[in-house]
Amino acid sequence: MPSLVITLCRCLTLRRYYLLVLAIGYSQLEAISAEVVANIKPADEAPQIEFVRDVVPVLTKLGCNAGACHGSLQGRGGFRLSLLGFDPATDYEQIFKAARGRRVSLASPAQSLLLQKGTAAIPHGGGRRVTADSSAYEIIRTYIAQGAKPIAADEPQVVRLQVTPPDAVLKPGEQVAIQVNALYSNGSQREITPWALYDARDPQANEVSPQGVIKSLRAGKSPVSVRFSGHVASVAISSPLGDAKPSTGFIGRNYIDDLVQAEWQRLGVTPAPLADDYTFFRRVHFDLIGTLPQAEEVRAFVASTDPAKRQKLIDDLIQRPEYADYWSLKWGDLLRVHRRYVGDKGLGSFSSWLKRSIRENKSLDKLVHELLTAEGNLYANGPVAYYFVDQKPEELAETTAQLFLGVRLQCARCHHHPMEVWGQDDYYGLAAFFTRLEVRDTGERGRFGGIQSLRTADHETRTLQRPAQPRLFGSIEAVPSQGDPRKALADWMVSPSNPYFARNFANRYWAYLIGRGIVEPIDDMRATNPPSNPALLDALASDLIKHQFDLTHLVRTICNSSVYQLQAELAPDHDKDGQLFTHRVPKRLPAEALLDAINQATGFQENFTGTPPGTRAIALPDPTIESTFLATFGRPPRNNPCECARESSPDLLQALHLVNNNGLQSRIANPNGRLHSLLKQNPTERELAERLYLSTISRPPTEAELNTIHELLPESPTLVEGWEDVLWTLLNSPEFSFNH
Amino acid sequence: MMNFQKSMADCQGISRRTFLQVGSLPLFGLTLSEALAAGTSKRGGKDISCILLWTDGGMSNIDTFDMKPEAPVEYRGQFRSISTNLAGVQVCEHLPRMSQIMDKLCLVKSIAHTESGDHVAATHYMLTGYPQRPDTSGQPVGSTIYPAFGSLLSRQSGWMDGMPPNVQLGHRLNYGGAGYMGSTYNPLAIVGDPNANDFRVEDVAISETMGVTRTARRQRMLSRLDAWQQQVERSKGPLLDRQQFYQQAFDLITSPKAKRAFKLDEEPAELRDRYGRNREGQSALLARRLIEAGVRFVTIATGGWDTHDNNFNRLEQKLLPTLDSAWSTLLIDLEQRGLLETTVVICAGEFGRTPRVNGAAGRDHYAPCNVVAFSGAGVRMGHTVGKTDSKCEQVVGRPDSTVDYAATIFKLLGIDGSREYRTEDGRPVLVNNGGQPIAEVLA
Repeated sequence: MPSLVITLCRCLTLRRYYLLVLAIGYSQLEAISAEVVANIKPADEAPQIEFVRDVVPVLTKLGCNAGACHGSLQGRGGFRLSLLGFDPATDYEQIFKAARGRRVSLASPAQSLLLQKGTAAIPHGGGRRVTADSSAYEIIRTYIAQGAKPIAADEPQVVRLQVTPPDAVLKPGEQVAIQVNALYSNGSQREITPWALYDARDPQANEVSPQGVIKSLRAGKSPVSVRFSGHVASVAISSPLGDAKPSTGFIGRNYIDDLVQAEWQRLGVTPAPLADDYTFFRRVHFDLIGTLPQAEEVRAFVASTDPAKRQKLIDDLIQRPEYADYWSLKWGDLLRVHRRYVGDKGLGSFSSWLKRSIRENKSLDKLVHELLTAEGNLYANGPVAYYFVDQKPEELAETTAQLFLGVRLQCARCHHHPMEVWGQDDYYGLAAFFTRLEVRDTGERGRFGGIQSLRTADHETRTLQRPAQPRLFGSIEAVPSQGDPRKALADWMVSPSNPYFARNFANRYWAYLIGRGIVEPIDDMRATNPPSNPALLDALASDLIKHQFDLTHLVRTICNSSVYQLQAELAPDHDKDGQLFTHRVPKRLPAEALLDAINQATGFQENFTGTPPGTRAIALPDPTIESTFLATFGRPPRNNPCECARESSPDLLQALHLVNNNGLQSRIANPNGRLHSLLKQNPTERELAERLYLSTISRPPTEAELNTIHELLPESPTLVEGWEDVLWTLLNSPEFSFNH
Repeated sequence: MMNFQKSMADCQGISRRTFLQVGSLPLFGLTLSEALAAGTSKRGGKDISCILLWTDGGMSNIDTFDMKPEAPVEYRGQFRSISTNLAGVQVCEHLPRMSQIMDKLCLVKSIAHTESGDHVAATHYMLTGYPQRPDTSGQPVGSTIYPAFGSLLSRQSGWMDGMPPNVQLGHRLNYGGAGYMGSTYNPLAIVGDPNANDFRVEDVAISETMGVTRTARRQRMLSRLDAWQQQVERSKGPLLDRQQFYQQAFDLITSPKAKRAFKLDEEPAELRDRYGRNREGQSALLARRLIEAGVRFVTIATGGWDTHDNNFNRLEQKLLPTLDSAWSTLLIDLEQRGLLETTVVICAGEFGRTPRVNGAAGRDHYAPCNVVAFSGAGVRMGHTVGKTDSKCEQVVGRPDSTVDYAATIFKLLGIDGSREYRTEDGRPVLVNNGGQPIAEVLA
C-alpha cells in the first residue's frame, strides 16, 4: 500500500480497498486496518471548490432543494432553489445575490445565514440539515471562504453516471456498497458516491443507505435508483428465491419461453403448470376479444382433440369482429377518442378510422405515422383528431412522448425530470414540432360551429412557454425547418433506430395480455424504472420491428408462448407480484367486458342511449354514453392518456353494485332471461348447474359443488328462487369477475 | 389494537394494502370489518367529524354574508341587510334564521384564489387546497388529481362503528373524490333524494323484494361456492381486496345501524319541517344522522348557485330560504345533541360572485372574494375573519390562500398536513404544501 497524501480530508471512509477522500480539514483517521499506513497531512492550500460540481450536489444531498422544501415552485420562507439543483445559475443568484446578499457572509463564512439556518443555529423551518463538523458543511463553508467563485461558462458538465457494480445478486440480509462515478464533459471523472441520491424502488425489498450501501431484505427482484446532477442510473438487485433449478418440466415453445425461463433459473423459481383448456379458453377470449365465451363454444373446444387447437383458436379470435371492437376500446382510451374534443361528426371519423385500422391490421408504424402527420378535414380524415384532443404544443409533446415513447415527460414542463435525464430542452424541443399547426374553419356548419380543418402554416402559429427549435427526442441537433416539421418527427418515431417506440408497444401489448408489464407502470419507461427482464423486452421489440410492426404477430407470439398459458396462482408463495411471470396474475375484467359478460350470462340486451339495440359496451365509441355500471367499474373518462386512467382495482361501491343492485337482480329474474328460459326446459339439477357454470365461469361444476348446490337449493322457499341465487352467486364469484 | 394502528400511521400513512391486511392477520382473529369496527369504535376526543355544505356553482357573497349597503346600487343589488344576534354584523334579509345564530359561525372573508373563470379548477382549489388544470371540457386531467378533504380523512382514520367514513349526498362533484389515492377512498355517493317518499339508498338498502333473509342466504351460498376463497385469504392484492370489500358491502347492507341512519321518518315531523321539506333540508338532516351513526365526513352538494342571470329572484325564491332552514336547523340540532363539540360544519363553494351586477341581473364568477363559514369543534365562533373593501372587490389586508384554508380544515379535523403520500407514478405529494391554519378561525 503506497502512502497517501490526502489533500481534501475530513471524513475518511474505508471502502473496500481504497480510501475515499471526502472533504477538507483532516482531524482524525479511524478504522484503518493494521496493514494500511497512511501518511496523511492537511494540504497547505485547499483546492478550489466549484459551485456546480461541489456545492449543488451538497445542497441536493441535504434535501435543501427538495420539492417539499426550497425546491418547491414557490420556495420556502422566501428562499427558492431550483428543484434538485437542476438550474445552478438561478441557485447561485438566489444564494449569493438575492435578498441583498444577506444569505452569505464572505467575510465570515460560518456566520452566513445559509449555514446558520442549515445547522439550525438560528430557527429553521426545515430543522437541522447539517452539522458543523460534517464534510457537507465544510464544502459550503470553504466555497464561501474562497470567495464564492461564480459559475464559469465552460464548467464541465456531467455526461453520464457509472455505477459499479451495475447489478448484484444478494441473498436476503446481504449487502453491497456501490460506487458511483460521474463522467464529465471534459473527459474527467470523479467518484461522487457520498453525494448521489439513492432510492429503493420497493423499500420492502431493499434498503439503501445515504452512502450507497444496498441491503437486500427479501427474495425477489427490485432496482435501486441513483441520481446525481440531473443524471440517473439504476442498480438491479436480485435476490434468489431458491437454488437454481436446471429443469422444471416446462416446455418452451418460442423465444419468450427461453428468455423467461432463463430468468427463473437464475432466481431459482419454478413456474406454475400450464392452464387447462377451460381456463385457457376463457382467458384468451377476454384478452383478445373482451368477450365471455358461450357454453357451447367451451364444450366444443374442450372436446376437440386437435393438438394445434390453441394456436388455431388464437388465429380465429383475431379474425372476429369483436377483436376490432375490443382493441379499438383500448386504443380509444389511449388516444382519448371522445366527442368533447371533436364533436359528434369528428367522433365518427376518428373512431371509424381507428376501428378500420385495427380490423385491417394496419401496421403500427403506419398507424402512428398517419396520426402524427395528419392534416385536412377533421370529418373526412380521422387521425386529424389527434390534433384536436390536444392543441397546445406542450400538451401534444406530453401526449406524444407518453403514448408512443412510453415516457412521462410532464415533469419537464416546469423543471428537469427528477427521475430521468430529460430536461426542459428535451420537452420544448419536442413541443416545437407542433407550433405551426393551424385550424381553419371550412365554412360548413357543424355542431361546434364551422367544420374544422388542420394544416401546417409556413410560420409559427402557436408559441411555446419557452421558445425552442424542433429537436428529435434525445438528440441535441435541431431539425431543419423547411416544410412540415412533423414529418421528420413521424419518420424518426417509427424508424427502427428509435430506441423507444418498439419497446414501448412491445411492453404495452405484453402487459395487456400477460397482466403485468415487463416495465411497470407500463407507460413509465425510464432509466430508474428498468425492465424486469431486459432481454425479453429487447427480443419482443426486435421481433416487432422484424415483422414490420405487425401487431397481430406480436399478439400471436405472446399468446402462443407457454408463459402466456400458465395457470393462475391465487396465493403464490414466490414471485408474489408476478414480475418473473411464473404464473398468471388474475386481473379484474375491464368495466365494459364485465357488463357485457353479465348481460350475456343473464340473457339481457342492454340499450345504451343513442346506440342501436344490442350494442355491446366494448363497442361504444366514447364514454359520453351514460352508465352507472361502467362508471362504477372504472371506465376512464378519456381525459388522460395515462394507462392508469382506467381504474382496475376493486372497491366498496363495486361490491355493493354487484351484491345488491336492482338492475342485476332484474336481469337474473327476468322471465325472458337466460335462467328462466332454461328453467322452462325442465332440466335436471346437474344439467342446469353445468349450463350455468359453463356460461358464467366457463367450466363445469365439480362434484363437490354439485353437492353443495343440491344441499343449498331446498333452503330457498321456491326452486326458482334457489336457482336465481345460484346464478347470482356465480356472477358474484371472483372467478367470474376476474380474468385468470 | 390501538398501538398497532398507531405504529402503522406513523410511517407513510396507512396504505390501503397494509390497512386491509390488518383485518386478515390471524393474530387478531378478526375479520376486516371487525378490525375496522374495533379500531375506533368509541368516538374519542380526536374523532372529529365534518359536514361540508357545498354551495355548488358559487354562492353570491355580496348578497348574503358580505353585504355592502353603502355601495352604489349596481353593486349592492336589491336586497336589504338585517341585524343579527351579533352586534355590528348584518346579513341578507332572506337569511332570517341564520341571522339569529351568528354566534355559531366563524365567517371568513379573507380566502381568495385566482380561478374566477373555471368552476372545475375553482372546485379543485376549494375541495383540496391545491391548484389544478382541467381540460377543455372541465374534466380533471393530469397525473396528480388531489384527494378531497373527506378522502384524506377516510384514509387517515378509516371506518368507525361499521360505517363508511366518507359519504356524499346530492349530485356528483368534480374533484370530490380521492384523486391519486384511488377509488378506495372515494365517497359513498348517495344520489337519491332524501325528500322523496320512496327514498332508498341505491345499492345499500335491500329492496323489499329481496329482503334481508334472502340476502343472508345468498351471502352464505357465495361463501360456500366461492372456489377461490380459501386461497385468496392467504394472498395479497386485488383478489384479497375484493374479498374484503365484499365483506364490507354485506356488513353495510345488512347493518341495522346503517339501515336506521337512512330512515328519516324516525325523525319528528316538526323537525323535518324545520330542516325544510326539500332535497337540501332533508340531506342536512340525513347528514346529522349519518354523523351520529359513525360516518366521519359528509358532503352535501347543493346546486343552483351559479346565478349568471336572474340572481336576485333565484336567491330570494329558492336558494336562500332553503339554505337558511337547512343550515340553521342543522347547527341548532347538532348543538342540542352535543354533536357540535365533535363536528365541524363548513359552508363553502368554489368562489364568490362579481360585486357588480351584470346586464342580466346576474352576477358572474369571482374568486378574489368569497365567504366561507366554519362552525363547531375547535372553531372560534361568533366573529368574522378578514374584511373586503367597500365594493367587495378585494380582500383588505393579506388574503389567505386556499392552501391556508385547507390547512385550517386539516387542523380542525386532526389531519396531519405534513404527511407525504405517493401518487401512482411515485411522485411524493404532501397532504398540505406549506399552508398555515388561519389562526383566527381556531378556538
